[in-house]
Amino acid sequence: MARSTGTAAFGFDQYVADIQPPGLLYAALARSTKAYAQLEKVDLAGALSTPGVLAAVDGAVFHRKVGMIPTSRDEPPLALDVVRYVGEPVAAVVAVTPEAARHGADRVRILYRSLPFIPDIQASATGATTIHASMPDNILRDVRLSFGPVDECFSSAQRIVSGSYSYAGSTHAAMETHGAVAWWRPEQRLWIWSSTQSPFHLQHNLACALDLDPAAVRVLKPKVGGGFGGKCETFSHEIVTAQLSKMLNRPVRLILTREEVFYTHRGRHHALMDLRLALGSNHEILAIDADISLDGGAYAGLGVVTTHYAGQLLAIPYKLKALRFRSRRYFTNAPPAGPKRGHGSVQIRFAMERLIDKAAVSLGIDPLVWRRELALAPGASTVNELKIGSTGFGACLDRVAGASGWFDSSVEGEALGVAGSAYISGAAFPIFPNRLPHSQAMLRADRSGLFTLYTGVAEIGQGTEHAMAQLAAETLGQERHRVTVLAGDTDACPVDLGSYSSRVTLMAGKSVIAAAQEVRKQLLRAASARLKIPVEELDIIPGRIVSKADEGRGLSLKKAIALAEEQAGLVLGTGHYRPDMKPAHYKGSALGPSPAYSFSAAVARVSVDKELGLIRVLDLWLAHDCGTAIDRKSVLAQLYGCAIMGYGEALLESTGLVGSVTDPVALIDYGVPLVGDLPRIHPLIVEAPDPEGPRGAKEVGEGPLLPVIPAIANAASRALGVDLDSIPLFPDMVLEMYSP
Amino acid sequence: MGTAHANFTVNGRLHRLCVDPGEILLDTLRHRLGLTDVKWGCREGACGACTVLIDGRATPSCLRLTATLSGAHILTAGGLIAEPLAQDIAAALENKHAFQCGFCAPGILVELFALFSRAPQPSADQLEQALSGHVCRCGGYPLMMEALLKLNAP
Ligand code: FES
Ligand code: FES
Repeated sequence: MARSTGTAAFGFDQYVADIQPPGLLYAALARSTKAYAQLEKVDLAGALSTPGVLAAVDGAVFHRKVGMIPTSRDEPPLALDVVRYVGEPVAAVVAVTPEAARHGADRVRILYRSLPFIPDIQASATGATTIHASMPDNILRDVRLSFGPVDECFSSAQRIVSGSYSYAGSTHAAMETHGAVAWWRPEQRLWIWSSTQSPFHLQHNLACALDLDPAAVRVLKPKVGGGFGGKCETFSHEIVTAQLSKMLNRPVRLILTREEVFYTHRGRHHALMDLRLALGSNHEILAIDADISLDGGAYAGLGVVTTHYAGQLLAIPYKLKALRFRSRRYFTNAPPAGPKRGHGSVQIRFAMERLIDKAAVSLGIDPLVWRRELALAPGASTVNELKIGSTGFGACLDRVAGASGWFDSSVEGEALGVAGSAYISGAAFPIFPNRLPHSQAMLRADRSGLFTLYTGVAEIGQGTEHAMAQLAAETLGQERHRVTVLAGDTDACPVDLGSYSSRVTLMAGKSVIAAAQEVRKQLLRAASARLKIPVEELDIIPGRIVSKADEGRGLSLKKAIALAEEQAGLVLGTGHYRPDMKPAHYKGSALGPSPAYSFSAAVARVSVDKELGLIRVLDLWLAHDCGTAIDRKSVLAQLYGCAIMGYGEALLESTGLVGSVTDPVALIDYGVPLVGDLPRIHPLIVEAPDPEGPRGAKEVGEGPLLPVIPAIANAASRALGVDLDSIPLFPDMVLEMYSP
Repeated sequence: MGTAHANFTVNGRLHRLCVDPGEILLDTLRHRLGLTDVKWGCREGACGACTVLIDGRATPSCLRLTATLSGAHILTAGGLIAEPLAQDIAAALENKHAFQCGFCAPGILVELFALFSRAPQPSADQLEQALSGHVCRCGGYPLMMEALLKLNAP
């Protein structure tokens, strides 16, 4: 019999819904049923008279609007005077059982005066109705940037190709729904367990929302059942549980239902994109000109970031002389959109890769070979001043070409499609501009021979804790199981900004290695003194410190730790990381730069049923340059995850093109890929170590998603001989685009 | 509340409960009996996370009313800890790194335990069918299939 050593399979892992402090109370939210309305009255009497209900509150108890970006805090924790989307929280009820809380919330009487609502970008752009009084044109951010001689490039172009693209919204659908347990403690501090990707942002934002000293807030991140970007922001249910707990001096739990997640999710922005390419006589791209409109839903959230990324990341992975984009994020009466895996970049990458294929067809050249020629070189600087370090993009294309038999003759009724992409390994500049480290780590050795790593990283299933333990262990010359990770507690762990922008491996990794190096030094020094062998002549091997010349001479690691403790007390190493970069000299230059860029390429093999418009993906080859694979199994798991999520996004998923009512609101109606749906997936690891990465590593959690969607669309377009320029490729939409 | 009676065993222990006729087994297990090894992702039968064994059959516990289960023998993922077969399955999946966030894992373990109990060497088709009621948003399916096909090779 084999023995399981994991904690997940038998259900031992504790997620937020499993946290049960003594005296726990339960909260539920009453939500808007209108897309846009004045709140005439929020009547809590029915809720308060419900058996088991202890309290009910509406938006009046809160004094501040919240939001992730300091310059766009536009969201009341509970709606005040106006509701702006179906599902917006209006009131909260707390009771002795979850059922009583739900009944109470259902009995909150909300009187609305409906307003004409804005269902989509087109309606928003007319400006006939406004969603926020302070934003009369319904635009959160209108970014116009231009780099290089764009107009000259277009006027001197050998050829200009253009296209219009549409990309539907979609949702993360992490298996664990969001939730929080807040506990206002007798010592006048707030403890909050939350299913979050960014504990330190939550700490800060909660303190702001409730006028608390951040030091009074302790965020505890238990196991998190998936995030994919959907658990980055600070949410109403977090603020509300905290407030209710403070009012009642008892712990309060609120776990969202699956339906509520569809309102709360901050899913992928629906995007409309117009793109033009100016091509030179040698088929080089002279310039890109893009016009991007994003459906941001009712509130800002992280939308400013999305708006910039959508344009900025057009500068990679291909060489260009000039780039111009206009990117606008519109308010509509839909649930707010936000970051989802590949934030800001997935939609525009689809458009760009479709247009490259279209251009290749018109030029009569091979789209894969062409992409290879267009690839940015290592060390390149882009027109918008992104600095590329290592790139394995060419190798990614070679790998997918070789594995898929790209150059072999094709099978009747099938087609191959290719796409490429690049992504950031962490945003170089933080959301709150400051000079503080983005990540810090602390490593302690104790005389038992165990190493404890304290880090603020937020494991959400991507394998971060595992990777950090691995890096510490390698630096110390030990096996991984010697390092335990203590993370996800803002009281105990030094700051790490959180699991977003694919920053953790690189940034936390660097700080962990630095901390481990310090401990290593202390142990070598202690051993050197005892063994009377100079430090340079010693080596650390699993469990021992030995002479390089004679492995027989040495002492046990435990002994070395004890000696180090004798000499100088606690054996502790610390490390920190802040990208050593300065923004370029243009407004908006803080978004896009990263210490290192990952690269990916995909080839899809599809067959299409022309009668039904049904696209079948038979194979998906996905190559990703992650710099160095710190843990190959985790890297493979991420590649599969990206391939499947991308596949779902291309063919099965949509949160509705019209945003007035989120549709669908049940998991069963939303096309999450299941085991039987899948193509054969062939993950291919490419390693182009980056000088900026820990042991050369770059990200793998998000970037590999990007090429999957356009590779499928390109393959299907080739199979049908038409341009499929809209995602998702639902059969009826395919038939609409393809009329034989 | 509490107008119906249900007597059944959970992980070998007998419970005599007085429940609301509308209470689902998922809530009974988690809230009343404190069995947080049973997870949930939808409460509508769509994700499989809440799967338990009811008289040997893998069933989403959100789809069964507690009041109808008198006489049943129920096993949750945590209740399988001493089963060598469950240990084998879990270890094989872990070795392939098939779980990432792990939220789907207990439901999937229960499902596979039921399958391997009746078909010690399940085919790829049988495995797919068993997994077809389970959502793993982290995308572990191919790694699960790989691990399980190896496990069933004699
Ligand atoms: S919670 Fe029962 S199937 Fe999803
Ligand atoms: S491991 Fe995350 S849902 Fe399966």
